[in-house]
Amino acid sequence: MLKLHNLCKIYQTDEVETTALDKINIQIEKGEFVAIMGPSGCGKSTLLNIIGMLDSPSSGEYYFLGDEIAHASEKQLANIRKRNIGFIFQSFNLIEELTVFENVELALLYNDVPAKERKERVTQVLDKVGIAHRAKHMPSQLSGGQQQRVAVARALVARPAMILADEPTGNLDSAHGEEVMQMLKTLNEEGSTIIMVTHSPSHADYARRTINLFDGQVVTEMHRAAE
Amino acid sequence: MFKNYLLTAFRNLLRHRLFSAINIVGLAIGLASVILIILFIRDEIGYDQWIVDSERIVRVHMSYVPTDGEPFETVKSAGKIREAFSNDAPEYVEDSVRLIISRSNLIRSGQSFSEVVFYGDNSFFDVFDLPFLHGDKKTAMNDVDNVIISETIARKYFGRTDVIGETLTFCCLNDKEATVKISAVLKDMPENTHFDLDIMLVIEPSRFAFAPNMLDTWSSVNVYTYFKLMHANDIAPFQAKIYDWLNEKSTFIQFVSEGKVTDILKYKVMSIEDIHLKAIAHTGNMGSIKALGDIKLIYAYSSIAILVLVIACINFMNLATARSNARAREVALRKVVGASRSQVATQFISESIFLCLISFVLALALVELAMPFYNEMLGGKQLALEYSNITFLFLLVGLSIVVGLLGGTYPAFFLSSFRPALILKANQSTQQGGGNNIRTYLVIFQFAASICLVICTAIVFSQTNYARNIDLGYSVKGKLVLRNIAAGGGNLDSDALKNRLLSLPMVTNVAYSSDVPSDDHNNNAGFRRLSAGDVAGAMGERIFLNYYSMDIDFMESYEIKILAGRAFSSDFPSDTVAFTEEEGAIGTGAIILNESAARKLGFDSPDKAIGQVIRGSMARLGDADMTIIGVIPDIYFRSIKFGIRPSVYFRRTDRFSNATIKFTTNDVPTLIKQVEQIWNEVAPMVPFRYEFVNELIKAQYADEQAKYKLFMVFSVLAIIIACLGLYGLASFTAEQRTKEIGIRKTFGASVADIILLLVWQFSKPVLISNIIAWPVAYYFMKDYLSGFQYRINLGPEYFILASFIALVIAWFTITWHAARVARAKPVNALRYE
Ligand SMILES: Nc1ncnc2c1ncn2[C@@H]1O[C@H](COP(=O)(O)OP(=O)(O)O)[C@@H](O)[C@H]1O
Ligand SMILES: [Mg+2]
Repeated sequence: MLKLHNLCKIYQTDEVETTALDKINIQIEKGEFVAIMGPSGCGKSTLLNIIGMLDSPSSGEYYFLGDEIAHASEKQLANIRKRNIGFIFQSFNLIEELTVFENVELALLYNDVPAKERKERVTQVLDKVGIAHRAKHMPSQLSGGQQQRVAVARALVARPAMILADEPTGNLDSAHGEEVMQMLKTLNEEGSTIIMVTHSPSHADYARRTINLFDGQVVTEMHRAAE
Repeated sequence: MFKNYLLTAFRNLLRHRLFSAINIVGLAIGLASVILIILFIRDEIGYDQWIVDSERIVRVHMSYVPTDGEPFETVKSAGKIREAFSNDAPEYVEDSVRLIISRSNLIRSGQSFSEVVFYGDNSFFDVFDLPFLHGDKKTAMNDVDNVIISETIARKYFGRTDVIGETLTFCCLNDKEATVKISAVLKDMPENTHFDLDIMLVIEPSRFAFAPNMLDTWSSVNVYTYFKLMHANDIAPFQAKIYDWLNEKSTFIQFVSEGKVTDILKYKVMSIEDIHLKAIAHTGNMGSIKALGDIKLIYAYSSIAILVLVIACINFMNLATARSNARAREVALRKVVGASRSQVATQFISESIFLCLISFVLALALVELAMPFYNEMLGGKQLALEYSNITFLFLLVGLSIVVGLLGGTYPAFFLSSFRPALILKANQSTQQGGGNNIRTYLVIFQFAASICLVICTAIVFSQTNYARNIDLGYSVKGKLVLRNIAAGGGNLDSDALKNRLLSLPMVTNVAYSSDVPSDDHNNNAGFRRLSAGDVAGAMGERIFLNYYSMDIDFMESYEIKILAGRAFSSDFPSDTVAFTEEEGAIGTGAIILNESAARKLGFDSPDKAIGQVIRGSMARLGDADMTIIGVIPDIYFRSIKFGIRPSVYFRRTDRFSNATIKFTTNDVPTLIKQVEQIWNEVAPMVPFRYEFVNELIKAQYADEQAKYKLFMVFSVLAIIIACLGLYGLASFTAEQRTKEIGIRKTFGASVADIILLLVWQFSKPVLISNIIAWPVAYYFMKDYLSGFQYRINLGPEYFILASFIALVIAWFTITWHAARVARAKPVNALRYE
């Protein structure tokens, strides 16, 4: 699915230069469930953002579905992104002014899906994550767990090949956290590639492979045999 | 405490440079506009108020509205009115004076200068207690051979001001050279006076022997008559008494067959304090001494001033509330450590006033910078910021504080109402800056006001342009008018002058006339057809028409089209009107009509008028039966604002005041030099005074245009201020919506999608504001245009254009921000939560 080769990300702020990612080499196959772990500030989010094409690397190569895209334009990236990638964030990142339905619909809106089909697909996916009865509510009226379900629905609705989740359970209590993990697991079983950043070793256990980062470098990779 | 507020205010100012700059600059432009407008209005409404006892000095204006015929209104009155009113109402009249204004030539060391000369009754300084520099008010006018001059004239002719006892020589007074002695020197009068007195001679009947209709007359209106009343509240009873006199005792009774005299003829009393602004509405500006102001303009300016200020205030409020998010934390923390709501509110209000005072200082600088241009645009006013006038300065400072209060109160109460717990609770990620709705309403209001101003400006501009470009009916190019033809006491050989001028190769035509375009002496007389309708010999109805006299070649010089018949010609000696001195005798001659006059006299077409005879009865000249030889189109001698009057033109050969020279050269300086040389040989002692016809015409509209230009300038400023606000708001909103934009981009929104989103957010209020602006502008412009006889159509194009302009400007303002935000990498937007 994707391959990173000697990928580096250096942040240049006023005087300090932070090397957030240092010569990362990773390959992820279609259908994998990968967990990324590591202490705070080690570059997990940076890595995920680059994989998700929300940011571009300072150097190195990034092959996505065979194409080298490290130097692609913002516009090209946006195009690949909207067709292939869904995001889930720690802080949900729902738009406060839009209803649950509209938040989910957003991912289809920019994919030129006709209105009727949009409605069907959004209803379907809200059903799937068990939040359909809240479709007309505003995000602020929902609990954290419910908000994250909406976020999951939004990530799913465009049927992306890959879902990126940055600490999706970080703001949730353990029960809700488990719920979200179950959803991700099901998705993976249905064929989606999932890359997830997490601090929780038990949640990392859901993944078949765990990549440990430290100071911007991959320190260990751990495969778990299929059960 | 206060120091702490000031410190926060100052730091905030520095930290949010864009907002501060927009606030301060916008407000400074607003305040500067308002100060400039206030200065203008203060000057306009202060006309003549500096004159001692101004509240009880009045002038009488004549209004003559015949039942059938054009009304004739003027600020002048007949020579006998002063005496009549004084005698009839001694209980109200303390003193009175007449004023006659004309040009004369002053001769000084072999050179002559054309000057405006005032003649006044010797009571002049009892009525107008003007400040003297030298001489004695009581005796200055005692001697007929005295002259009183202004400081400026003294300096011009003597280089000093203590010139009492010196003499001045005029040529001519009553056709004779006359030397008079300076008895007093007046201080120069301020510019805001309805007359500007430079040279004052005494009215002495013998001086007007050449013009018997000047003083001893009830019917010819050639003098200005002022009364000083006992009390300011005598104006109304004095007016009533005048009406009674007109209806019951005056000589006019015999001319009115039915109804009262005052149905037709009125003398209306007006306080001199009102002359400048209200005379136009009262009796028009016919005969006015100086260019008059217009109260409507004052209203228009005041409205603009208020609008500009409100728009600037709204910016203030909008930007302050928009920023509330950014400051919510500060408010919360202050409250946590014990600040009360009112203390927080006080802090924000002081901050707002602090900003206003900075703007005020900047505004003063802007006013100083703009002042020279402003004065020039206003046609040479001498407005200035008087820093020594403490009250006025305090007023302005007070104004800025009020603006600060207005702009600061709402945000202050809005911000101070935040509850700290809510704000400090960490994960309230997008506590959207409240007051979004109110901000939208305010933006709608701002744009409604701006669009309204744009529409008005466009219409005023078009109307002015239309008026200026209307076909006058004659050509104004390549024409020079020589004035002072009649000034030499009748000893100018006009035939010689004409012949010599014609001998110049670049001169193609020379024509003498009583009036030239832009002047209009408004001579009226009754005319009637000798045989009207089917009945042979039945006299037609008497109709009042304007008349002008001229010599041959006038029509040719001005390239006036002849619709029927012919122009005056030397081939027909009978063209010249011959008035007879004999009692009861009737002269003969030829006459040319304009289309309106032909219609009024009942001719169906120009052709039908030719060969017909009309009888004119001209007060000064006598009666004459005149054969119609030609009909010309309606030509406009004066600004079309005054409309077209039915007029007749006839040929005389006596003294004309003007000669029009039609020339064909681009080398005007050489032409002038040659003409002047001939002039100096033919009329050595008469000053050479010339004007270009196209400039005379332009000058007719100059005053209006200057004022409308100002109107436009202030409208544009209002729009700029509104846009500044929009810019700030857009930048704020873009910032506020960064996270949302990041999310949208993450899920596939393109740069164009985002720009559209933001642009639409701001287009909505602009579009809505049209709904408010259109009817308001329509209402005012309908009224404005109704004041013009010849006017443009109030079509939808102005409204659509203005809205479009507003929209484009708004887009222009917003798109830049939108594009910047839209292009940013989504990750940046999502990072900080
Ligand atoms: N936009 C940025 N500018 C400067 N430094 C950054 C930026 N984003 C991340 N960093 C730095 O890069 C490093 C990695 O950050 P991040 O990927 O967010 O860590 P993690 O998600 O593992 O906690 C940190 O040291 C962080 O301070
Ligand atoms: Mg992180």
